[in-house]
Amino acid sequence: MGELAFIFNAMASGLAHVFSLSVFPIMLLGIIIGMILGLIPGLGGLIGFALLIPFAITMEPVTGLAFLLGMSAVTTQTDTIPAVILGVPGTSAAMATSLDGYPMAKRGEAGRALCASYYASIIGTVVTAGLFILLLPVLRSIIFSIGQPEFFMLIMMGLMLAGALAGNSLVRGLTMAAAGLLLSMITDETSIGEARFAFGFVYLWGGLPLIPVVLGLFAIPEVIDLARTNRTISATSVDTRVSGLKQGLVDVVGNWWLVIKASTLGSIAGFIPGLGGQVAEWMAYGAAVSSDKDPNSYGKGNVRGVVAAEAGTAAQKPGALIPTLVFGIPGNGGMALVLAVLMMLEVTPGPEMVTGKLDITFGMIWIIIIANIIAAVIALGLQRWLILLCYLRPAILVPMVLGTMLVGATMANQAYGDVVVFVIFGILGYLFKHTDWPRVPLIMGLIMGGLAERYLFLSIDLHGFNWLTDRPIVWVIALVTFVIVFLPPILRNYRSKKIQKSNDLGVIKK
Amino acid sequence: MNAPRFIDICLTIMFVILAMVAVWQVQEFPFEDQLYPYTGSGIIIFFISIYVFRLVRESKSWKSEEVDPNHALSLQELSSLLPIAVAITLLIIGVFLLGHLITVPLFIFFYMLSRGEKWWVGLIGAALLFVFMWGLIVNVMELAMPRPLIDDIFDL
Repeated sequence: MGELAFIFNAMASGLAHVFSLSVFPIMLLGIIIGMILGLIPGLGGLIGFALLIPFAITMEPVTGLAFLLGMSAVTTQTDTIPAVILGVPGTSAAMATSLDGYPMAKRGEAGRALCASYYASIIGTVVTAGLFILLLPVLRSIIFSIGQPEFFMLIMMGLMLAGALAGNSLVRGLTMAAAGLLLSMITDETSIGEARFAFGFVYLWGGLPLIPVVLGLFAIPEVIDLARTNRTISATSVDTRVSGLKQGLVDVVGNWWLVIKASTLGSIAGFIPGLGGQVAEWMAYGAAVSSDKDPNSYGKGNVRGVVAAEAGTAAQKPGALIPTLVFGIPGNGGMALVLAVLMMLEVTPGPEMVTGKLDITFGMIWIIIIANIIAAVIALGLQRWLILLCYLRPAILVPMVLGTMLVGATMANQAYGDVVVFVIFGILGYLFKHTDWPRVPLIMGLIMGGLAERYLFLSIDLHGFNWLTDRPIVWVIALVTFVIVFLPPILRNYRSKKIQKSNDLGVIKK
Repeated sequence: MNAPRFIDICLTIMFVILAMVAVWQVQEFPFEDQLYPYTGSGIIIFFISIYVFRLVRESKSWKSEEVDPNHALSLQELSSLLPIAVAITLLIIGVFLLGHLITVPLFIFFYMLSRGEKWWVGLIGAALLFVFMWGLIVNVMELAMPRPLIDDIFDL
């Protein structure tokens, strides 16, 4: 009973944080920026994070987080507008939505599809928040039973999962994660008071600055491709009238079980490092198709496809936030940046986030829910004008985004070293993107490397090498990592060899 | 040899060098401080070895097995990078020489002009970025932009 009261107090306190005068206006600003980023094809939450972090870290912790989370929460909501009305997903996480949303728009049901997607998004985040509250006692008991060695192993598990799931190749993903770990080691080694991997550059003593690295790796490749392809959305006349508000609500309420199922799947996808909004969306969409009596109606304008996809994508965000805050393992690239911001703002993820700072944890979940509600209201009211943003030409977008990025990158240390790092990682990011070396594990390794080193150092300091033999949970985590990351490719390889062998035998017999 | 494969090989070599440099750099460190860099380097060397082994074994059928066809660039597409690469190079050189406050608005104006936008659209874009830098960053947030070369040359 006492625990329940504590949780509800933290919820109320978190809500009060969100509506305080210092937080709410900044969150609103973040929401508006996020809505714009979601609308413009080619941009999205990750670029938004990279652009806004320089400003967020100068704010109070809760305010800065509200700014970032407010922005990130709504990019996947407004990306539905071009996906439904123009058939062009604003971000990769809106592809499934456009499959059914666009045919609905062509039938004159754009308003219904959009309204259903907004309601589904809101309910998706609420369902994840509900799951978090339900699981909180379990999470609390888990977190109190583990120490530094287990945290180290959890970070390694998170990194390996991200490496394994973020791209097409396990080997490349894990190499990138390890490279991220190595890059995180560029710093002054406090135990011996000597710079490590700094090569005589004083600039590197404080470590690689995250902002130019992130901007270079993620934003430069998108901007270059935008400039190279010069892709524009032709300004055809479209019907942007919002109608079908009630019908959208009826669709969501009538498919309540699908919404809960899709949201739960979205939360799980968010919880697992390396999966992102896109996976969450397709998992939810797949669940809708497989549970329908008429699967052939999907792709032709079935509103259940829109509802499931949007609920899944929206639920993925708070789902990814939970392991980030509780275990320090980010659920996706965006959350890796949130983790970095948390550390910059001196909010350490871990047990405190479910005890003394549970109100901040709830505050962040509230931000995602409230941001979705506000964005839905704004989008419903201003849809006709918002859609115009989709027509912004690359000739205008590219120099503006590039200029802002360069200024943002320089704000890290206000030194030309930032510009150099920005350019180097920009070139690398472009090469990585076009040869399919996944960038998310690299950035996760860079961000989590410091934490991992601290936990490893403490583990050896406190337990010697006995932490490898005396702690069963360490072995359980190692086993789970092996089963999830390494066993599937080993089995796949074994099976393909077996098939090859039987085929060869068949040829010989013939 | 196609472009993605060449880049792929260069990146693989880069990772190996990164791991080797990491090991070499901490040789003088005490054992406890070597442990973590050695672990990171060891993981890279291990996975790169597997990767190279697979590449060599499957060299005939490599094509673009692990590269999403939507991502892989042909040589022709690579050549389309030239204008934006030149623009970014000029922007960076300009920033070092003249500083952010002058170069970024100029870049925005001339980029828009070169892409066929109307001059007043470029002017509005340049003015917006200047106000953003001068107003918000320099004056409100009180963050100084790095000192450009021109300031040193003319002792400004």
